[in-house]
Order: sequence, then structure tokens, then C-alpha cells
Amino acid sequence: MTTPPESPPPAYLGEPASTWVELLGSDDPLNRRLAAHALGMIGPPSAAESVPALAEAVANDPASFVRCWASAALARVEPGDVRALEGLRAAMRDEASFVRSLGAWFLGRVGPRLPDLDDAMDELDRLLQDEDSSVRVEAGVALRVLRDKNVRPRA
Amino acid sequence: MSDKPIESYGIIGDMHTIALVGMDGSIDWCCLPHFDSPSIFAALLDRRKGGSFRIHALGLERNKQMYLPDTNVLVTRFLGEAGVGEVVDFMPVRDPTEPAKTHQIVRVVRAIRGSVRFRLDCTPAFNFAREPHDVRLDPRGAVFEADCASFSLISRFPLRIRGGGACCEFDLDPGESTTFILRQVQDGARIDLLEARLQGEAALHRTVEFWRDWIGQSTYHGRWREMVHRSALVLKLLTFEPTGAIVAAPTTSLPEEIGGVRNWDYRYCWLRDAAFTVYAFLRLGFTAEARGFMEWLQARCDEGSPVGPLQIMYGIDGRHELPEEDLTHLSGYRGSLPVRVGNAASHQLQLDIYGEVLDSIYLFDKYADQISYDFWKSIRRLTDWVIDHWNRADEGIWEVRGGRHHFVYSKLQCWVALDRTIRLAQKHSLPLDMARYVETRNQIYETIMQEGWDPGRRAFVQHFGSEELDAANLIMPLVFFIAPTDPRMQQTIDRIMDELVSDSLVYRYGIGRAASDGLSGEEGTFNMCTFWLVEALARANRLEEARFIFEKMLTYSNHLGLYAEETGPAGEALGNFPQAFTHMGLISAAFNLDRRLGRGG
Repeated sequence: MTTPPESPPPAYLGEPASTWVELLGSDDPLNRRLAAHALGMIGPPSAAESVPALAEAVANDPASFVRCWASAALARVEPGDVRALEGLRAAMRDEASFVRSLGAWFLGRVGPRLPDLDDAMDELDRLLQDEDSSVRVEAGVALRVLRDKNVRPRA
Repeated sequence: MSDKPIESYGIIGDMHTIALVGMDGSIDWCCLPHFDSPSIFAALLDRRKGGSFRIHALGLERNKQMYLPDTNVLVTRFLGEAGVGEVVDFMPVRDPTEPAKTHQIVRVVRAIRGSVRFRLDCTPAFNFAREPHDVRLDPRGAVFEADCASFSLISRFPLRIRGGGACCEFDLDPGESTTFILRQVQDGARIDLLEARLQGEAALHRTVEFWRDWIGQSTYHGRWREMVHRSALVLKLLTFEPTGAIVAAPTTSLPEEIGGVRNWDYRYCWLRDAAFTVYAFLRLGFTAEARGFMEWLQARCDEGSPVGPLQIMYGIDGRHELPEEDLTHLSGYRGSLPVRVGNAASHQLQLDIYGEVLDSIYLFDKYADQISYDFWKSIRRLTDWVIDHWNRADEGIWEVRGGRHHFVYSKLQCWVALDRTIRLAQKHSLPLDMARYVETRNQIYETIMQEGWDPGRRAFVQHFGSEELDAANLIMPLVFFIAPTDPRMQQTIDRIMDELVSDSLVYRYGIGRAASDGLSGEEGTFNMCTFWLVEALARANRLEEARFIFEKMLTYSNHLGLYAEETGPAGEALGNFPQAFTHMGLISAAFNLDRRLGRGG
């Protein structure tokens, strides 16, 4: 009897989750953003390794855009983790317009995977009146995407 | 990975340059910011070193390409059981609110059905892969910097630097899209903080509108309209907006024979090709492009050249010197060497250009604007020179490098030059030494009939003293040198169909038999000549033959309606791609064949 070949470990761009978890501790926020995205792309198969690291980034990364990316990645890896949605809501309230825009975009992308979206949908609605045009447009697109995915704001 | 077939590419452009996009979503050729700038992507000429920018859907193995209707916006589609993804590629036309033209490639990626994972790999190689560059991450994507130029890749998804390139993977759900923008970093360019996706959508809307407005001006309503309009859209892409010049093709060194040496740089303005293109534009009602070229041409008329009042080709900015250089570090398309940039033929003597130029001026005067007196003076300088030099041997339309001859086609076009000048003078009562012009025109005519006609072969031949045929002589009735039904023309057509035609496709001459082009090897059939055959047959009322060959020729275009310079024995595209000459030939043949077929045909 032969042993079936082992499937390769889950990876992003050929690198396993451990590499990206390590990069999440980089001094460079652009690298930390990349690491968060990579862990989100690898997804649930590496949850044991990536969820703690992503949750730590959601809570404590000094760069708000990295926190936003980590929240979105966490939503992909562990959709039931409330820290993911809280992180995205925080992003939509961020003082930097590009982070608010990013938060809206991510909510449109990962929203249908998340429970209890009502409050987040309110945030999204509020962003339709944002002072920054790119945030307003992004919020509108996110609402349309969510509508297409049968996610409705509460009555 | 082996080199992809030439015909597997689509093109996008912005009337400054063009990029070739493969069916696999890879941009394998682009010179930025202009047609004749050094390349940043040249995988077409060296898959390993040349550089490319690929976006494709992982796991979706079937590919299709289409243009958004009536535009030069290209959609590359990826299809599979699991889903459907698309990459919409375009180069935005200038935004009227921009202080300066931004040179950029926009790639909008969409999931249509199913959740689709895409992969992006952008690996530029500056200056034909001769110049090193640095790459660094940037909050908006990545920046590639070399001494000669810098480009930024704007991406919403984080990029990873790998080697000299940047890559990422990302998932899109159905209905989602994201936009990547590769743009030249320029002084004075607008710094726009809008997200790439929003910029991309606005630019896409503007670009689609631009192309639809432009092609909407076409006056052509005959048969094969879709193919005619695609050809017009190609020709428009080959125009260089800042000067009005028209390039022969946007590529260099795509071979006329796989593995062969006939590999030339076509990213310049040949007067012959551009003049024919003006004719095609005018046929379809596009006068602005013709006007732009005439202004460019008039400037050249006043400059002179070492071989006559005009040289056969110029840089798109009007420069005269196009030094030829072999890029020995590149492996060439399917090993076809050398890879050349520049063109040593620029100082050849090719007398035919005067006929083609004067014919285009004559048509411009007829269908667009009456020529000015100053332009008339320039024209007379050209044609006075033709009177003194028409009886010289030259390198001819095919730019042979094996020695000069008295080519019949060159003499014919000298006749055209004088004939059109005489007609212009008569039409507008312009000052001209009419007796001298008429005498020389008639002298050329008789010379062609005596020395260019071989009574034994019963055909016009390639050059005086030769027995060999030349498909270029098919143009004789098209320029009204001879009646299409004249027995000499009919017999020449028949000889050409016997000896130079294979499965309806026309070789320009018999290699090894006709004037030596100074090179070894073979080549494909010459698409322009096939369309000339169609037109000659149509004008001779041999409509059934003409239509059959024309419609057969349409099957040799690629999936998007694009043609290279030549077609190989297996129907493959050969030579630079896409080529203005071929598309101009298609337009002219379609126009004249349709007219003769009439409404009921």
C-alpha cells in the first residue's frame, strides 16, 4: 500500500502562511498590508496560524490601513470572528478618507460572509454623505454590490 | 513557454503608442510613451528577458478576445466550468482637463460568473531590456525606475516585489471589478487621489465615447462594414496625434519568415504607407486625419534630403535619421534574428513615393481642403525633381538591398506624380509649365509600355530587362494608368494569378527569380497585394473572382479582424503587426468591390 502524496501546504505566491505571519511583524506598513492580504488569500486552511496574528494586527497595528486590511483578511479566514466586522466599522470611521473608502470597499466584498451586518450597513449609508467624493462613490458601489448579493439594510 | 502566434494578439492604443495584448492576458509589446520609444514590454521578441504585464484568471483555461463594439477597448475573457473573468484593456485618450497627456495603460478586471481568482505579473524591461531598473513598493502600488523613464503601477491589491517585477493574486466575486493603471511618472502630470478604480471607470467611459464618436463619422455603409470599420480603427491607432504622422506598424522585427532574417523596424512613417492610409481615411469620410498628415508632409517637403526632396521614411516627429542597430541580446520572435531597431532603408532612393504622395494630395484636395499656394510651390519642387530624375534606377517599393533597377512600379508612380500635378493645375488654374509636364508624363507612359511590357510573357514585368512578375503592377488600373479591361492589364492579371498566387493569396514577387532583395530565405504572401488583386479584378468586372478572393482573404484575419503584413502557407500571420498597408488595402478593396457589386450583389 502506498502513501498518498501530501498536498502542498496552503500558500500565497508560493509562500506558506508562516512566512506571511512573520511579515505581519515587519517595520514596513506596506509589507504588513501585503502580509494581511496574503493570509486572507490563503484563507481558512491556515486559520490556526493566521487568526491570532491577524487579530493582533486588527487590534494593535499602528497604521489604520493595515488594521483595515487585517480586518478584511480575518473576515475571509474566520467569518464568525466579530473582531473582523468591528475592524471594518472602525475603518469606515477613520479620519483618513482613503481608509474610509477602503473600509467601504471591503464591506462590499466580504460583507455577505459576516453575521449581524445591520450596524455596519448604517455606517455604509452614512458614508454616502461623506465629505470625500471617492468615499461616497465607494460606499455607493459597496451598497450596490451588497444588494446584488441579497444583503439589505434594515428597514 | 513558446512564443505565441502573431495573430493571437489584440491591440490597444492612444494615438501615441500601441500595446499588444495576448489571448492569455499578457501585454507582450509596448513602447512608451511613443511608438518609436524604447520598449518596456518586449516579451514578443524575447520571452525570457523582454518584459511583460500579464493578468489572467487562474484555473480558467479557455480564452476569447473581443473589442467593445466600435471601439479600441479590448476585452480578454477567461472561461471555465468554475466561472468567467474578464480583463478590459485600453489606453485612455487625452482628458481635456489634463495639463499634459498622461501615458498610461488601464486594465479593468472583472468577475462575470463565479468567484474568480486572478494573478497579476508586471515585469517591465526598460529600453529593449538593456537598462536596469529598481522597483519599490508605494502606498498606491509599485514604482519601476530606470534612468530613461519611470512608471508606477497603481493597484488596490498589495503587490509583492519579485525580481524586477511586481505580482499579486486576488479574488473577485461576480459583479466585482478592480482596476490597475500603469502610467509613466511625468513632471507636471496631474496627481489624482481618486482610487484607480474610479479613475479607470471615468477613463473607460471617456475612451469608449471617443472611439464611438470617431467611427460614427464614417460614411461607409457598404458590405463588410464591420471589417472596414475595424480596419479604420486600426489605422486611427497608427496615427501619431501630436504630429499627424502615421506609422507603418507598431512593432519591430516580427519576421516575414519564421527563423528568417527579414525582420524590420516599422515604427516609422513611410510616406508610401501613410499616403495610402490617407486615401483610406478619405474614402471613409475621415478628413481630420488626412489634414494632420498633410501638415506633417508639407513640413517635410520644405526640408529636403540627401536622396531627393523627400526621403522614403521619417521618424514620427519628422526626424530624418533612423540609424539601424541590431539588438543582439534579444533572442527574436521564435528565434528570428536579427532584432533590429532603426531602419537603414531610410536613405534608399524609391521614386514611387512621389506618386503616392501626389495622389494623396490630389485626393485630399478633392475630398477635403483645397491646397494652398505655398503647398503648391512645395509640390512643384517635388515634381520638378521627378521630371529630372524619373529615369534613374532605384530600390523600388520592396526596398531591395541587392542593387538598383528600373522598376516598372517606380516609373508608374512617377507618371502618377506628374499626372496628378497636371490635374491639380488644371482644376485650380495653378501656374505650371504644363507643356514640360505633359511631355514628360507621356514619355514615362510610353517608356513603361515599351520597356515594362514583355510581349513574350504577355505581362508587365518587375523591372526593365526582366521577365519576372511583380504584384505591385496590379495597381496600374487603380491609379488610372491603364483601363482595367485593357488586354495588357488582363493578361498581366492572369500571369500573376498563374505564377504569384497560392490559394487566392498573392506573393509580391518570385523570391530567387525577381530582383534580389539581398537576403536569403522565403517569405509569406503579401496581404496588400492580395487586396490589390481583388481591386484590379473588381475594376475589370471580374466580380465573382474578386468577391471570392476578398471573402477568402477575410478569413485570414485574426479573431479581432487584424492583419499582419503577410500571411504564411498555413494561414499564420507573418511580419509586423498590425500593418497599416494591409488594412488600407482592405478598405480600398471593400469600397470598390462593394460599389461594383451594387445593391443587389
